[in-house]
Amino acid sequence: MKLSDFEIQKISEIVAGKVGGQLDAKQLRKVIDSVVDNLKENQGNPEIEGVTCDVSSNPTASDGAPSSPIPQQSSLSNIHGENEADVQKAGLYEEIDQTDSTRIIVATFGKNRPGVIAAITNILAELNCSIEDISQTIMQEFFSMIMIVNINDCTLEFAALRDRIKATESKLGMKVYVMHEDIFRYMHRI
Amino acid sequence: MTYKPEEIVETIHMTEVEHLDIRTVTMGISLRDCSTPDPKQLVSNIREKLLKTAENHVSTVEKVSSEYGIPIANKRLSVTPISIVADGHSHETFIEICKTLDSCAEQLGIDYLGGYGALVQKGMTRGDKTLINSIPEALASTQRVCSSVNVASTKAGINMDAIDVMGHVIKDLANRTEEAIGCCKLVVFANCVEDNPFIAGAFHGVTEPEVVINVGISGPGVVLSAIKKAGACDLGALSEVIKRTAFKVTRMGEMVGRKCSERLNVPFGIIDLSLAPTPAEGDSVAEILEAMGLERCGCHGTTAALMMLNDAVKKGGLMASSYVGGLSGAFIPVSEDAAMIRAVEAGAISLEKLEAMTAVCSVGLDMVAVPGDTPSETISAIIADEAAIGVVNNKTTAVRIIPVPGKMVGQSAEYGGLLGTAPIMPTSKFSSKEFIKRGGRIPAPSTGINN
Repeated sequence: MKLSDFEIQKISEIVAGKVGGQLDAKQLRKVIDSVVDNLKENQGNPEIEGVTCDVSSNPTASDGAPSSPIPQQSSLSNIHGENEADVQKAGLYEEIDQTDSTRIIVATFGKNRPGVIAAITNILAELNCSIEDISQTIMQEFFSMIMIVNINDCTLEFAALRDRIKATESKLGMKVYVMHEDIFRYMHRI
Repeated sequence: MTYKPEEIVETIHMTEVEHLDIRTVTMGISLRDCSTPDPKQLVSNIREKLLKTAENHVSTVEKVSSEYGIPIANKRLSVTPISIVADGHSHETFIEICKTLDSCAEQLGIDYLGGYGALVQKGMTRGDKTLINSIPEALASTQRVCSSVNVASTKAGINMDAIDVMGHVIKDLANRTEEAIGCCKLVVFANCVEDNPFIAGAFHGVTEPEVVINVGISGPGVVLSAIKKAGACDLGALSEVIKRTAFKVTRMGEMVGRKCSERLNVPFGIIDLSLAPTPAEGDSVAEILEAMGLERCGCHGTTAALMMLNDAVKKGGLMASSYVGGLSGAFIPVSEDAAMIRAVEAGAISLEKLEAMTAVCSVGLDMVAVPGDTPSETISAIIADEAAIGVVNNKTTAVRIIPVPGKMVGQSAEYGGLLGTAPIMPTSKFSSKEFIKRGGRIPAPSTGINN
């Protein structure tokens, strides 16, 4: 749920008037807490209630009956929720996504020769996989290429896709590794 | 790029070259609801429940393993201690249950199933006594069932009567099986844990849920290669290297455990952070200790090196998993670790040194072979010593000892596979008979009275 216009206006006023400049997460939390307190104090004010509650979808408010504290509470908890989300986005608690990734890592190592990338990308294109990132390094004769590939729309199951890509190993005379991105996410990201 | 090329290369190196694997994914199954006074019904309840609950265990774990390219060495089962499930039943029924567990495991494609055991740290019920006395016959007539008996705890003290009986049970089992191989399936514990995924000591504790997935990680090879790569650094820096490696290995365990538990729709229990060696070259805990700078595992300094290794593994692993449990420490089995076997053969390590090492790691005297003519009282006394270390230090200790009939110091027992080769180790030539004969229960130490 989004903050109401009133809440946003209130926050921007306080931010502009009282604090100014850039805010860190802690300061922002303070500001939001003070908005929350402000809203609580003004609970009896019909003008504020009219703005905070969505009139069209809340019959009790349009009836002019005293607004129940429930919508107030939900919008308050919402403020905290969004704030925490912001804090997370800011990277303070960087957490890995526990859901299955739809990406795989394809890594190729060996003696450089023409057509390595073509051999692998042809298969990927044919199976409707999209390459999200690719990096290659060539040191003297040694070649290494690492790709991050999204297999969301792939026409094959992962295991079959892996076997298909691995089958280029003998043709290319190189080592080709195909691994699920989850392995790297778990191992290298907290 | 989302990942640095070095990170990608490191991971590929770990799985392809350093034999990073997950040692075991163990499904714990409660058999408490199988209990009934009718022996036939009891056996059929157990069979039905096991076959139904674990139906997809092996295939699911194998699928996860192949999809993620992480080898998972073993798929195993643990069940509620049978002494609890079958308390009150006859010796024959216990044997029948053990055979049923064995045939269910075979049908499910599982190599070992743990839980034919009893918890008797404070005393024995009728069921406990029947079970313990049935162990020699039960394990001798089955292939896949493992047994564990907990004889001591920090809270209850040490049940010396049970330890006395276990000395006889081990000797009896040794005599009934080829090269005493039956003894490889029997562990005597102090302070056992209820969520251990590792065989032979695995069982599904009474406080565990209906079904659970526990994962035992492995990775001595990965740690060994990290230490070798670290070169000449001081021990603080080395501890950091081990910690980082343990973190990564444990993350793999966490991932595999979560994927298996999701797909089986079974709650995820714990990750056991143990470093578990295999007889394969390079997959050795003793070799890690030697890579730290000890000429041979067992020389002076080994206990300190092991303490550091064990602690660093825990510190790295704790951060990597939300739920750490089980035994979580380095294993130091003799027959299952190539460098350990070499150390025994070179005379670098003795039972006494191993005993000291068990004070700073999990679990205990594991897969140690002793001469076939070792008196049962000596075996009981070895168990009592281990139990004392566990009880007073508030940790798990265990004894898996194999008195190989007809074999003497200098010879060895060949088991092959994961069990490896067990060189016969000398025990003290002096008797502990009168001490063991006293029986009774050694009271809980003051460390246990901590409320």
